[in-house]
Amino acid sequence: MNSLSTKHLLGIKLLNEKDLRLIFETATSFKEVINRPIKKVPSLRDITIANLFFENSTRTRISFELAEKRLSADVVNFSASASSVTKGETLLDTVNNILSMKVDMVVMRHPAPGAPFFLAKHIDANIINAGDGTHEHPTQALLDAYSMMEALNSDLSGKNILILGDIMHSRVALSNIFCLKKLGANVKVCGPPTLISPYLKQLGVEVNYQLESALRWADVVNVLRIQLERQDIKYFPSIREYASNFGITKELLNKMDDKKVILHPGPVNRGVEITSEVIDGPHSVVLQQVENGVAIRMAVLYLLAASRDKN
Amino acid sequence: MQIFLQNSTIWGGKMAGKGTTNLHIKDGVIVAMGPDIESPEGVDVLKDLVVCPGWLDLGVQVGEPGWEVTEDLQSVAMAAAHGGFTCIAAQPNTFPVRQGKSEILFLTQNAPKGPVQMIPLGAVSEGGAGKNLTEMMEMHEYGALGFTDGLHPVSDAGLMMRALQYVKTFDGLILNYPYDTSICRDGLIHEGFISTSLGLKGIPSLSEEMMVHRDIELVKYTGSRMHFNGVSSAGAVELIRKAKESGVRITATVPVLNLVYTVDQLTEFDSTYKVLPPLREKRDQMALWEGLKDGTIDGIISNHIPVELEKKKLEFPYAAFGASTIESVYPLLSSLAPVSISPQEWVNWLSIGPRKILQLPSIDIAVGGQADLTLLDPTGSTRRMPEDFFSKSKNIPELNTSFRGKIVGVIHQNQMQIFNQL
Repeated sequence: MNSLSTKHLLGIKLLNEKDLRLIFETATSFKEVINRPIKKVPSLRDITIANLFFENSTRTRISFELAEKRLSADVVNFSASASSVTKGETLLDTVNNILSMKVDMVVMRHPAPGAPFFLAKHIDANIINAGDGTHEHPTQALLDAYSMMEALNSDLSGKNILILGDIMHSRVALSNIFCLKKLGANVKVCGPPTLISPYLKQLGVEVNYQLESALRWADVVNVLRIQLERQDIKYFPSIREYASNFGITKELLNKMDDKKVILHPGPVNRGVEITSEVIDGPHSVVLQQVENGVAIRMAVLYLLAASRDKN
Repeated sequence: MQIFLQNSTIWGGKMAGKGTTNLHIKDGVIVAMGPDIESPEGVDVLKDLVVCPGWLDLGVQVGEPGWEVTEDLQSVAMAAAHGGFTCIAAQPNTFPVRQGKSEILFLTQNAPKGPVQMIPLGAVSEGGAGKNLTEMMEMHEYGALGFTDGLHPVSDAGLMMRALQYVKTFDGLILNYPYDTSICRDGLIHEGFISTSLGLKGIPSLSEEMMVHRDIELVKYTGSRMHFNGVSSAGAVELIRKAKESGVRITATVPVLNLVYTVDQLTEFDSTYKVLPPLREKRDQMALWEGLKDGTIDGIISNHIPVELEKKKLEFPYAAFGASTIESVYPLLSSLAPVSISPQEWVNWLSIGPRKILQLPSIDIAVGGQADLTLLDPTGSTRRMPEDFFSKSKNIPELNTSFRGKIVGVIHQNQMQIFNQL
């Protein structure tokens, strides 16, 4: 039986290309399932999953919960602001308490980079990283890559993918870079230089600070949200200047020779990194991303649960 | 107190390389020495050890007063002895901060009566807050041999300049931990490929180089003495090398962890290795060794920062900086150093160099001299289970392992502490 090379999904960095292909294949089967009149399968009937969200989330949390329920898992939800946890009970205590109630898998979002690694070192359950600070958001990268392949109706090998915006504070950017590089795509990033690490090139990506030329090069653009909440100091002078230099507009897209596929991981700052006309227009695949997100998460949960049976 | 050290190999000094010898130590003094002397009756004998001039550690957080939960004077003295140190310079980051006569006296009067001497360092600024100068003249009078804000770099260039000027009255020493925090606020690990791929805020080498450069210029301007206590980057080593060549009165030490590890230790967010200065890249590590070898860097410090596990066993960004290292200097260097270390180099980097920085005379192993000795067994091994350590804090790298090289004991101040069964 095909299985993943890892017990946890801590980051894309730790997966190999075979793992990625297996997740995509499995997601395709589940996408067919969730479009049936009866959307539920009994695959995870004996599995209990805890969704631990130490940071705000709407779509990722709902997407995971839906994926878990469609697989017939038992689900418990825990949300807490990180500050209230750091003031009192430690992460390890919180999670150990929940695990004492015989939880098999943990889906965790946490503001601290590396928090899922910390957890994986100390507890026995399968850990799925649903976003850890500025580190990784692996399921988002998987659903982005899946959506890109779907929109292009092709493999991503040799395709030109542009990631635009606040690269430095984005876990989506980092996971996208790892994922797309493993799939053979050419990756370029664009944004204000203060929001791009000088060492990013060492990850095998190109850097371009001029949006128009970067856009001309790209087949696909993944537009990131400006993460004002993660910026402790001002990295650019104003939203206005950002939007006029790095925002995707219909006028800009009209200058291009070919049609670009536009993704956005949400939530969107309409009129800042992207205009409403574009996000709601024919270039955008944002709603397909959301649908694919459920299928991808079903695939990840299913495959990790299978590795649990094997162990 | 009496002990007979039989068949000993002396590291450093006139006796180095002249085969083994015997030493008879009585009442804190080397009373007889030579290959032919015999052990007096009834005196304990230690055989086949290396005898080294006592080691001095310039980078030690002693915990007391204020942070006794992490370390106190008793525990740090035992830990220092276990690490082979006969003398430690106590950083002023206590609570209250060691910033005046009474805090200096607290340390000198409460230091345990044992083989480990504690030298007080006083704060440069009140509360270590980097604003107003402390009463350094009086602290000097009561025994402070240097002034530093310890873990807190002196960010304000004007304050640093005034501190350097002020201590000229007694040719005092200012120590600074060179780290310009303004360009890497909340940095967590060395900035580079690994920080980028882990999504962690980086601490660029630039942050160290900028402050080293600033301080060199201030020392040139004032003509005072300054010591960089804990350099970590190749760029800083080069700046110090050039400045020393042109006669600027600076010295430098390097933390042991930066000599044996690189930022590669952090790829799985292991907070044990979350330290300041941060572990950097291989080229930095090798530049630090080169700096030691050519005399640019004057010595090695443990950079002992005890932290209770509750503050360390946390998600990486929330975990405290620092490692409890004073007991690990010798085994880590013996086992993990990427270069060979000669007996004379051990002595230079752990005894002669650090003592020179504080303008203390070198220790001569000779008849009639005070016994200030570190005893070690290079062929022995050190077990590293948590219970083997005397430090109250177990934020210790490489726990549950065993390393080559063993500190057998220390002798100083007419006291000895031996960690082997006699």
